[in-house]
Amino acid sequence: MEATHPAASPHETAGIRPPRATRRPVFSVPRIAFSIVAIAAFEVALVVLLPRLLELYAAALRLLDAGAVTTQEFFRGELPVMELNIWVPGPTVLVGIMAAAGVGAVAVAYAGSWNPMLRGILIAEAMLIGGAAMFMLATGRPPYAGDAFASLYAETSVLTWLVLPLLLGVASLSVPFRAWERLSMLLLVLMFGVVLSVVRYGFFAEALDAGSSVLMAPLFLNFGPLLDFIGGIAIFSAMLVRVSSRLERGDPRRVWSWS
Amino acid sequence: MVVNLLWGWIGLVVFFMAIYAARHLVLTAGRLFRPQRSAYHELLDSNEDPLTVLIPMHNESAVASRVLDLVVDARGSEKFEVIPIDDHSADDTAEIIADYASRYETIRPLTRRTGLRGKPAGLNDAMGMSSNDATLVFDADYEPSGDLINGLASAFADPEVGAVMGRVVPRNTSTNVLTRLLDLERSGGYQVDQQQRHTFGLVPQYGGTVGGFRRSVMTSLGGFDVRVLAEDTDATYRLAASGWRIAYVNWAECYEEVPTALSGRFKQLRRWARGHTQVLFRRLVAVVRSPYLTRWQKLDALLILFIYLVPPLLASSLVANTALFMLGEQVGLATVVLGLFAVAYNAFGNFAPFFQIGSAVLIDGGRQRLTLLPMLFAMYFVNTCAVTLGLLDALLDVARGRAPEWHKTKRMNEASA
Repeated sequence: MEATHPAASPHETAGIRPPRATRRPVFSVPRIAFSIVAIAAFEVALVVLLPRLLELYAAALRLLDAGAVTTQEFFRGELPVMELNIWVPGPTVLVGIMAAAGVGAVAVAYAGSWNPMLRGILIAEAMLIGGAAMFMLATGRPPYAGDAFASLYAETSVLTWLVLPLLLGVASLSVPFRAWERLSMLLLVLMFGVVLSVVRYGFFAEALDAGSSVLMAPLFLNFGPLLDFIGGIAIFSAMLVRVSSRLERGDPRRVWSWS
Repeated sequence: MVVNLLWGWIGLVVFFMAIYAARHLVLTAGRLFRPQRSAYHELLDSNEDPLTVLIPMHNESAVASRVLDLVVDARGSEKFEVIPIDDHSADDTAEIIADYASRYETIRPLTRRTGLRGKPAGLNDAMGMSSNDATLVFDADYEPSGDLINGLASAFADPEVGAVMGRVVPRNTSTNVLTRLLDLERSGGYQVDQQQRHTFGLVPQYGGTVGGFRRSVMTSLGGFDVRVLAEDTDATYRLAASGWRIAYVNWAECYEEVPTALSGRFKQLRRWARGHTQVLFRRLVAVVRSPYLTRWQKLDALLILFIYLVPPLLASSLVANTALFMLGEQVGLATVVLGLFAVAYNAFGNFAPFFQIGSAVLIDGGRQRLTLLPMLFAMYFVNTCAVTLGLLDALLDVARGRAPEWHKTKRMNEASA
């Protein structure tokens, strides 16, 4: 049976925003297809230009002057690896670190007036540092020698540059970005990753020199790719605000589907 | 050997996380690209079937008047009754209810001073004195409008619908960062997850805070189970496994207070995880064996039932990754993948990843609050601890055969009093 409700004429619906319960942003199939091609092209270009990017990375690391930079073969290019001076503490110091970490974790656990979120993070960090010290005490060696750690860090950074734009590009297909917005976002994510990687390299070099090999795990696991992802999502969300503003300002008939 | 075991464990966790990621991607894409299945509001004009509204209350003097004011005039008195359930209150709740009952004939109070305390027990008693089949339930701190009540009730025009659920929207979002983050979570959970489960014909969750059920059906299933904390989740899967549909009405928005302090959120999440896991233990077999559920409905139901196992699983894989790091294994790729999952999945309760929440908030018309998306990760440790403790609680419930105790959520105006 035909619907009995008369269809609204275009001038009647002009300016009316569909209810949020069932509305959807308007997507253009050609635009999505173009975006998929653009994301793939961006990724291919990234792989093709990776050797050049690694050269820039090496030049930036040399500018940091935090340690001598050598290179090693890596995925079509020369991966810059910084020499790190890492202090390896003796058994007495390791026991002291374990004790301090344990006492610190317990003290923070009972610091009821502190923000629970901060307490959770501090306790996790104390456990990580204490665990690393215990592990080194048991095995008599740090997890990595300086060059192996530097190599792991550099490889992981480059891997993140390659993976993160691709993942955010795919995730962005669920948002009506314009093609240039999508590509700008990917470029920003890549630039953020490269700059962060350089700055973080320098920070790690200083921290491991001043601290000790006990800090390797907390530094790598907490300030490694995690920071890249948080930054990437921050850029993604900032771009979403732009899209949201456009949906708010645009002609409802052009930007929203009723269902 | 140890190294292989650690790698194997990480691989297993990544596999499970990838399945959840695919689920969320499909739901988000469906919400954005497919025409949405509407609710039953087309029937509103003709639907005036008899209706009962139940409002469980325990020490709710701070909010009782407001919710009764809102529901009492929703319909004419001939086909409508409101049963406020005073469940062992020690404050002025009973007096407030008595005052309303003396003024409005639609209000038929139920006072409970003996027997088990708790929402499921109260609902079971109230069903015994209810006059109507179609029954809606609202928590005392909710603000249901007349349109909302009629909209939810209209779902029962469909004879296959056994329960209905409306959308929960936080009203105290501007209080602090936590309430804003919880608003993002709710948005992702309802605007995309629940709505798309409804559209795809899967099993949306019946929530006992703004929803309803057929009294005859719940009675035939033995009423609400007083031994589980999440009686609504339990009811969802009992109904679904028995062949009843759960309808979701996305436009039926009802406003609630979300926790304003992290300690309150911690307790809430721990309670949810405990209750949800109790349901997993009790209903897993029934869901798997149900002749009424399709393969996809079962798969989605299983993923939802197991959802609170994911945070401790992810945490365990991060510990395994740390152990591999200490052993000097090259953990670059594993750190990248696990780090991504840890950052992407932090909306506990519905477990929505950032892109699902972003899409939901976009549909909702949110703007500046979108910039808070990366902050969801800040709650990772607290959320993981709360969920893990909730799971342990549920395991201890089974091991010791203990019954859960009911704790009332503190209302915002109580906290400030």
